Amino acid sequence: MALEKIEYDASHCQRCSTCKWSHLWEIKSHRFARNCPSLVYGKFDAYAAQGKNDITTGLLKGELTWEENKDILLEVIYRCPVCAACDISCKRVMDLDIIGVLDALREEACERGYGPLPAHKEFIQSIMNYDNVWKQPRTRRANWARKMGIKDLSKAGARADVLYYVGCTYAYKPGMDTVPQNTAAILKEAGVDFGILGAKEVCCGGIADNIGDKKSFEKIAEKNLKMFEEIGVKTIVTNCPGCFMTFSEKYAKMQKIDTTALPYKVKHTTQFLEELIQDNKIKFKKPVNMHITWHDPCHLGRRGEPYKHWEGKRVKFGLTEPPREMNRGVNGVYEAPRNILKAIPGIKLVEMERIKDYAWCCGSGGGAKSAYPDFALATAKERIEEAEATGAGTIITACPWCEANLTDGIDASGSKMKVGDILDLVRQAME
Amino acid sequence: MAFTDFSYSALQDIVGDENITNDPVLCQAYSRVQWLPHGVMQRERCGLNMRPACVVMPGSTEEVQSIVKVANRYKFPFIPRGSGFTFHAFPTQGGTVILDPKRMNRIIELNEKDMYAVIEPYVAFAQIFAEAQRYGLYVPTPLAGSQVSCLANFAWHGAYGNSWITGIGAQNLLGFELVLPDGEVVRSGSMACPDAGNFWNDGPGPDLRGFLRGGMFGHAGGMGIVTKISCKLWQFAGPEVFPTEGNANMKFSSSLGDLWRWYMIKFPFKYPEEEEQELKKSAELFYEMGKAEIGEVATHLAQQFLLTYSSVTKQDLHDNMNNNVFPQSYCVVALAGKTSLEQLEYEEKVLKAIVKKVGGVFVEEDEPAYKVWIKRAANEWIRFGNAQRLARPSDNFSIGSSNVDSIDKIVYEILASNKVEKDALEEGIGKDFVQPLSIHGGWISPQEYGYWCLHTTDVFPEQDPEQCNQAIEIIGRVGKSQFQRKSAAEAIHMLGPAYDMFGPMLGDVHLYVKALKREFDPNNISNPGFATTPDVLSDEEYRKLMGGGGH
Repeated sequence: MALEKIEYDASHCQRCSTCKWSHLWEIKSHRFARNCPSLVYGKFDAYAAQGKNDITTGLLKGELTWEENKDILLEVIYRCPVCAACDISCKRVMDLDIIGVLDALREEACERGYGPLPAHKEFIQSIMNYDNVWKQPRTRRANWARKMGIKDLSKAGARADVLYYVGCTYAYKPGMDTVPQNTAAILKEAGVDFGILGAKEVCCGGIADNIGDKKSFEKIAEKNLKMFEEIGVKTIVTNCPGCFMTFSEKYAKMQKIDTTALPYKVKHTTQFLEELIQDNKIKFKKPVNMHITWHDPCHLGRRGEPYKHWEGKRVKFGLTEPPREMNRGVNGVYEAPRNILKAIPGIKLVEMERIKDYAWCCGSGGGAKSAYPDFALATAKERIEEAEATGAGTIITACPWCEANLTDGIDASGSKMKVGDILDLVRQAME
Repeated sequence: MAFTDFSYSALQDIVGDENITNDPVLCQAYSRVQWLPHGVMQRERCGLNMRPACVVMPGSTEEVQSIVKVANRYKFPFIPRGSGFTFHAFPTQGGTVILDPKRMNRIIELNEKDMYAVIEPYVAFAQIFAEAQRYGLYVPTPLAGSQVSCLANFAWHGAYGNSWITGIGAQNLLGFELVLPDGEVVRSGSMACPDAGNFWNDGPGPDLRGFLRGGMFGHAGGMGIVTKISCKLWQFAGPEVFPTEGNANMKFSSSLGDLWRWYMIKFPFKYPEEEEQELKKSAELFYEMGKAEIGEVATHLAQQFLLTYSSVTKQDLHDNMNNNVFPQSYCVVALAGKTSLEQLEYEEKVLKAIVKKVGGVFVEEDEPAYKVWIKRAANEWIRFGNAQRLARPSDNFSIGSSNVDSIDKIVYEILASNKVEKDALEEGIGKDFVQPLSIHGGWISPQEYGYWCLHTTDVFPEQDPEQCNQAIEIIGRVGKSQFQRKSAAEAIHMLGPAYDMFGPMLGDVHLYVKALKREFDPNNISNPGFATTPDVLSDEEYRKLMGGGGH
C-alpha cells in the first residue's frame, strides 16, 4: 500500500513544528507568520504536516484504522490544498518527504476505496466523459480561439515550434477567455510559430493525481503523451500552473524519469514571455498605471520544480542510496513573473509578506475548492487581507484556480481589491 | 476518578464545541514527542494508550483556570503543549487532557520605551522577533528554533544564540502569570501589581521565577500552566528586515548591515589531540572579552554544531563532515554597533588585541569554515536558533551532557564528559552513532559577558530503540560522573523517573521537588510522571523531609 513507501519519512518527524510556520527568516509580522491553511482552518495539530505524520504512523502501526475513522481521516487528508508550504519549511531542517506523505495518504485512501471524495469523482468522471473537468462539450474547447487564425496541431500535417496548451479552466470558464486570447495575440505579435490542439486538447489530469486517483491519472496522461508524440511536440507553453506542473513533474514521475528526459520542454507562459522580452520580441508601448501585488501560485512556485527521479532506499543515518535530490522549492518559477511586471511601464509592484517559496496558498488546490469550499474561501480571504495590507489595489496572478478563488474571497470579504491575470497586463502594455 | 463523559462535557461547556475534540484521529497528533531518545523509547513502550483523552483549546486565562479546576474535580491529568518540540509534553497515562494554546496567541503589549513585550503562550519567537525588529529591538533566539513558543521556552529556562548578553530564559522573564495546578492564579514581578507595568522581575510584587525552573531541576511543566509572560527585549543593531538571498533551503542571509560583524577565531592546536589547550584558550578569550564588556555573541562551537547548523541537506552535512570542512572547533563572535559605527570599530580593535593576546587567529574569509559558517549559518544563529537541525545527522540526537558553571569549570566538564563518552565507545556503546560527532567537542555558551556559562555535548543515535538505549546509558554514565565530581549538572535529562536515581547524589533534591509538587498539586495531575516520578511522597516521608512541618 502507498503508506508503506513513506513510513520512514512519517515516523521520523521530530515534531519541531517548523512545518507550521512560514520561513522563519522571512516572518515579518505576528499577523502573517503562519503557512499552513489546513492547520489555520482546522486548528488541531492533526491538520498540520506534523499531525499527518503522526496519523500516518498510527495507521501503519495499527493504532488507528481506516474502517473506524474513515470520515475524519478523509477530512484531515483532503481539507488541504497540498500547497507544500509545510514540505518546504520542513526541508530546511530535515530531509523528510512531507509532500510524499500527503500524496501517499490520498493514494492509499483511493486504494482502499474511500477516496476520492464525491466532489472529486465528478471531476474525474467529467474528464473521462468530456476530456475536461467542467462537463463541457469538446466542441466548445477552442471557442476562445475563433477567428484568431491559430493553427490546430491536431489536424493532419499541421506543425509548429510551440504547442500552446490552454487548459480546461481558461478554455471554458466564463470571463477567463481573455487570457488565452491575449496569450495568442502576444505570441503572434512576437512572431512565435505556435499552434493549439483545438477541440482535441485533453485535460492534463493533474487533478486526478492530486487527489490520489493514480489509475485515472495514468489513463489521462497516457492519452496526452500519445498525442504529444503523434504531433512531435518539442515545446509546450501553458498559462495554467497546474498543467505546467503536471506536464513537467507528474508526467516525468509517472514514467520514472527526470523532467529533463521528457521528449518535450514545458514552459509556463511567464517563463516564455520573459524570454521574449529579453530577446526584444515583445515591446511595451503603453504604461499600465496600476498599483499591484503579485500572488505566487503554488504549482508554479514551490511545486513547480523539475522532477528528479529517484529509486532507492534509506540506509544508515537516514541517508539515501543512491543519493536523492529532493525537490525543496529552490528552483520554482518565482522571478519570471516578477521580471515581466517590472518590465511593464507604469506598474508599481509591492510585495506581500509571504511570497515565493513561502507564499500563502490561495486555498484552491488539491481538490480543496470542490470538496471544502468554506475552507478554500477562508484561505482566500486570508490572502486578500494580506494583499490589502500592501496598499495595492489589484492582486495579479497567473493561475485560473487562484484567480477564481481569490475573486470569491474578495466577494465574500467585501474587499475593494481586484484580481487580474498577468497576461492581460502584458497585452494592455503592448497595445 | 478517570476522564469520563462528564469531564468532557464540563470542558466542552468552558471552551465551546469547536475548541475541543476527543476524536482518535485528531488526538493522535498529540500522542508522542518522538524526539530525543526519550521520545523514541516512549513510542516503543507506550503506543495507543498514550493518545490523550481529549485536546482542549482554551482562549483565556479564565478558561485555563476553569479547565484546571475541572481537572481537579474529576482528577484527570493535564498537560499544556505548544509546539510539541520537547520531550515531556505527552501523556504518560490514560485519560490525560492536552491543552493546546493556539487560541492564546496575542502579543498583548510591545513597549518600545521600556523594552519588553507581554505575550501569550502560542506566540512563536519568530513572531515577537519580527515585531520587535521594527523598533530596533529583538529577543534572545532560542536554540530550539524560533518556531517554538517564546513563553514556554523562557519558562523552561532555554538557552540562546546570543546568551553572551541575554543570559538564559529566566534572565529575560520580567513577569509571568501562572495558573497553579489547583486552578489558583499567581502573578510574578511587576505584573503582580495592578497598574505597575510589566517591566521588572524583582518587583514591585513577588519574584517567583524560581518556581519556573524548567530544565534546572524544575517541574518540567508539572506545576500548572503559564498563561502570560512579560519578556525582555534587547537593542538590535541589525536591520528592520532580514536581508536574504535565494529560496527555500538555499536561502541565506550573509549580511546584517554595517553595524553587525561576525568573526571566527581559531587556536593553533592539533585537533582533537590538543583539544584541552584549545578549550582553555577559548575560555581565556571569553574571560578577556567579558572584562572588556564587548560583543553581542560569543560562543565556542564544536563540529557537531558547525556541521548541523550550516547544512542545507543531510547529504551535504555528511559530505562536509567527510571532507573535514570544519577541521576543528571555533570561537564565533559578533560585534554590534548599537550606538554607532564608532562603537563597533572600537570593539573590533579591542577584540583584535584580545585575540592577539590569547594567541588566537582570525579565520580568513576564503577558508572553507568561514565561507560555510558565516554565509549559511551565522545569521541563522541570531534569528532561527535552528536546533531542529541537530537531528539531521541521524534523524535524532541527544544531549550527552550539560552543565552550568564558570567558563573554566565548563572546559573541565566537557573534557571529563567526553572521556566518559569515549570510554563507553571503547566498550562498544554508541559505536553505531554518527562519528566523530558523538565523541568530541562541546558547545560552550558563556552567559552575560562570561559571568557564568553552560555547555552541552551531544550524541547522535538513530531513532532505533537499541541505539537510544545506548544513548540513555551514556547520558546516565555522564550524569553519574558529574555528580561524583560535584559538578553543577544542568540535569535536563534527569527529570521524571531519573530524579530518583540522581536525587540522592544531590542533596535529595528529588524529594524536595516531590514535596513542592505535593504541596501545590495535591491531586498530582499537572503533567504527572515528568515533574517527578508518578508516585507521590507518603505522609511520613513528607513530614520527615519538612522537619515535621507542612500539611
